[in-house]
Amino acid sequence: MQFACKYSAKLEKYKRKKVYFHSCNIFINLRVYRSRSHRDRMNKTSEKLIERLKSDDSHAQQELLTTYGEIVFRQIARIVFCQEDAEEVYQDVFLKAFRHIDSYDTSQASLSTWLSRIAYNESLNFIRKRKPPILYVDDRETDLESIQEETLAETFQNTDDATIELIERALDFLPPAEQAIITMFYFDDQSIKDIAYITEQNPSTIASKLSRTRKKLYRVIKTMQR
Amino acid sequence: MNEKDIKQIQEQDTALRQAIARREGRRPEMPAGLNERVMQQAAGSRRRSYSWLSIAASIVAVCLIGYTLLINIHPSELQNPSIAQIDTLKDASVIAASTTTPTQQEEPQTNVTVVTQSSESPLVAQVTAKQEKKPNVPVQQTEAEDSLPVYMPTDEAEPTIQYASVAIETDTAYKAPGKMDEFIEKMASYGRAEAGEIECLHSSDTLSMSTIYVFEEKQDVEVFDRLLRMAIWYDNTTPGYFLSFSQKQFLFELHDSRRGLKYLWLAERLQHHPALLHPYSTRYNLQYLVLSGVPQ
Repeated sequence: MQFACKYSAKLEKYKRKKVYFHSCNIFINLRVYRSRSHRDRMNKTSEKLIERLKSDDSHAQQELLTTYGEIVFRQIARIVFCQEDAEEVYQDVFLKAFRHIDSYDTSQASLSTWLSRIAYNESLNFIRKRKPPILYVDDRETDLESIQEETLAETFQNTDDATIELIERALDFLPPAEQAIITMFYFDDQSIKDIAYITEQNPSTIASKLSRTRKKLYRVIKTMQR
Repeated sequence: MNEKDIKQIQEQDTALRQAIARREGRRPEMPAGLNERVMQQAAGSRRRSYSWLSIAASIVAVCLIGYTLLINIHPSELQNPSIAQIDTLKDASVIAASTTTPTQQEEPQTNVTVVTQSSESPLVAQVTAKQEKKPNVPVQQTEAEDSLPVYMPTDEAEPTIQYASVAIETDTAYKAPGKMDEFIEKMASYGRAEAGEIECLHSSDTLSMSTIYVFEEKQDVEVFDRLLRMAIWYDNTTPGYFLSFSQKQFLFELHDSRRGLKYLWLAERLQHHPALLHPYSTRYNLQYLVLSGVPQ
C-alpha cells in the first residue's frame, strides 16, 4: 500500500513526461502482486498476534498498530476528510479493537478486514454525529437503470488523461460510504464478501451498490461535461 | 450482477481504477507519533481498569476481614443456622443421656467444643465431642469458670479427632438450677426473711442440711407468684422438670444430669401461721429417692 502511494505520487511526474500509460500498467501489476504476497504473510503472522493480543500484551498491540495502522488510517481518511478528525477516529478504532479482540472470529474475516470494519463503522458514526453540510448526488432523481453497460464501459475503460481527471473529480460527489466501497473494490482489491463484512451488508446488496455507483459516477461525469 | 461479471468489471474499468489510485495517492499519510498516542491511551485505560479492579478487590478483602472478625469475636451471638442446629443436637444428646442411662452420673457430658476450620468452606464447623466416643481414654477433671466439671483428654496420642483449637465455651442452653437458689436468697434478702437450717432424710438414711426461709405474707412480696415465675423460666423439657402449684403448696423439681444432682424446692403456706411461708430447697444425687415429708 505504501508502495502504491509513493508510486501514485510519482505518477504525476510521469504524466508530464508523457510516459503515463506505460507506467500505469506496471503500477497495476506491481500493486496486485505486492498486495497478494503481503496478505499471505499477514495471515500467517496474524494468528500468533491475535493470541498475544488476547492476553493484553502491549508489544502485540504495538505490532498491530505498526502492521495495520496504515490500512486503518486510509480507510478512515476515505470517510473522514479532516486530518485531525481522522486521527481521533483512528485512536478510537484501535482502542476498541484492543478491548474487543476476544469477539474477533478468525473464521469470518482476516484481521485487517475486521479492523477495516471497525474503522468503517466508527468513521460513519463520526460523520453522522458531525452532520457535514455537504450535499451529495442523490440517485433517486436520476434514471440510472436506463444507462447501458456499454456506455459505462466507454467511459471507465477510456484511459485518457482527461477522462481519468474527470472521474477523479466526479468521485468527490459521491457520499463518503459509497466512496469507501468503490475504493475498497477497485483500489484495495477487496472481495465483495469482505466488503459486505466490513459494511455489515449482504454481498448482493454490495454488488448492486457498486453497479449503481458506477452509473451514478457516469451521470455526474456527463453533468460536469455539459 | 454475478461474481464473474463483477470481476470482469473490476478488471476492465481501468480508468476508474486509475482515478481512484490517484485520489488515494493524494491522501495525507498517517502522521508520525499517532501510534504512540494510541499506545499511551491504551496504557492509560489499562491503568484505569486496574485501579478499578484494585478498588473492588480491596472492598471485597475488607468485607471478608470484617466478616471473619465478626465470627471470631462473637460466634455465639450470630444467628448461624449451623451452630443453632448443633446446639439443638447437643440438647438432644443431653436429654437422651439422662433419660436412657441415668446411672452415668460419674461420666457426665462435657461441653468441650472442637472448632475446626475447613479449607473448603469458610464456615466454622462446631462439633461437640461426646464422652461416649472415648470410653477407654483416661480423663482429667478441671473446673471451669462456672464450676462446671470439664473433662480434658490426657492422652495426647489420641487420634480420634483432628482439630485446630479447643475452646471451652459457655453453654448458653444450660440453665443452672442454682439460679433458683440465688433468686430465693435475693427474695429473702428483700423480704427480710431469716435463713434457717433443716435436716432432710434420704432413702439411704443419710442426713443433708438444707436452707429454710420464713416469709411474712405481704402484698408486695407475693412469694408463691414469684416462685412460679422463676420456675417457668426453666425449659419444661429439662430432665426431671416437675412443677406442682396450688394456693397451699409450691413444689418444683429439676434434675441436673450434667452434675448428677436432683433439686427440689418446696413452699408451704402454714395453716397455723397463715402469714408465714417457708420455701425449702435441697439437692440430692439423682439415684436417691426423696421421701416426702414436710418439715414442721
